[in-house]
Amino acid sequence: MGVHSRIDLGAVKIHRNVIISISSMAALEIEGVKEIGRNKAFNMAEILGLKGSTGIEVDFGKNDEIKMEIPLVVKYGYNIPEIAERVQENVRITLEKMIDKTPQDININIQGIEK
Amino acid sequence: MRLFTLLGLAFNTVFFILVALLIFGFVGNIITPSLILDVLSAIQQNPHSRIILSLIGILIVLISISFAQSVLGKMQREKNIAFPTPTGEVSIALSAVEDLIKRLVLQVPEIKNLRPDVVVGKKGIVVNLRIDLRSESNIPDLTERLQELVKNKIRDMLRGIDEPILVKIHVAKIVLSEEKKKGEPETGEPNIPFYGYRR
Repeated sequence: MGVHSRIDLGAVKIHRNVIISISSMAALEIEGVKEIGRNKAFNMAEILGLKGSTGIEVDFGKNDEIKMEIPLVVKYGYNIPEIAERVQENVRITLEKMIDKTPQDININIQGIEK
Repeated sequence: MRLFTLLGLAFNTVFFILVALLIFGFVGNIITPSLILDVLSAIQQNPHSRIILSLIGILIVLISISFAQSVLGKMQREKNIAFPTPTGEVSIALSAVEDLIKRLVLQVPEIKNLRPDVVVGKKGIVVNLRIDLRSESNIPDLTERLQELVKNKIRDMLRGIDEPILVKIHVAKIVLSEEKKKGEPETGEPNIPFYGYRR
């Protein structure tokens, strides 16, 4: 459910939602990003209110490596690959700074373009 | 998500095998109509079994929805333009590209309406545009301009993607402009019937 790390005094667990929040904020910092997209597929958990409305998905590998998918809606007129790379970079740097973990994969999915 | 997909897959498999077995049992006369009727009436008479059955029904609905959701998600993931980056992968939904084209092309005054369709195949990115034109526009001139515009804009926005871009235009309708529809502009004098007939 999250990232685990051990220090001398005990264990520290960082919940998946924390990673989602950090990534979401880091992505929105980039100019040209309009908003975080949603899972377009019919999501039962979202309807029941069990899950946040953000579409960012975080998966953990066997050795706690982080793999994430960030859906984005970008502003009209910006270069999409450039924005995507800047988001990837900012999310990676922010996660490294805040939770001391480097994500293995940060996949960006551009879902829409808005003004 | 994977757990739900696996559960959905397992459930669907078991469910359809059971249905098939029931059909074989019915055909082979092992399950008789009276037996089915007995079982159904026994379930209906017992309130506990009715509750259990309704819970099973809810579970079936939830698992089916989750399964459909994961399949839909996969289908959606396939419809995009993807390219790798050092940190991961970037995929652009084709609907986003269609949205971009729509916004761009509707700025051209000669175009009344359009339906873009973007396909990624072996030939590269193929943009099919079905457009409704206003009557006064020069079609060959406009379509050529439009092809250039769409091609350049996609290339500009997807800088870094080297796939060839093919723009196909299909003029679906030519719409009369509002002024022409109304006919000649009025002179200001009212049209009086039989005016001018004098003895």
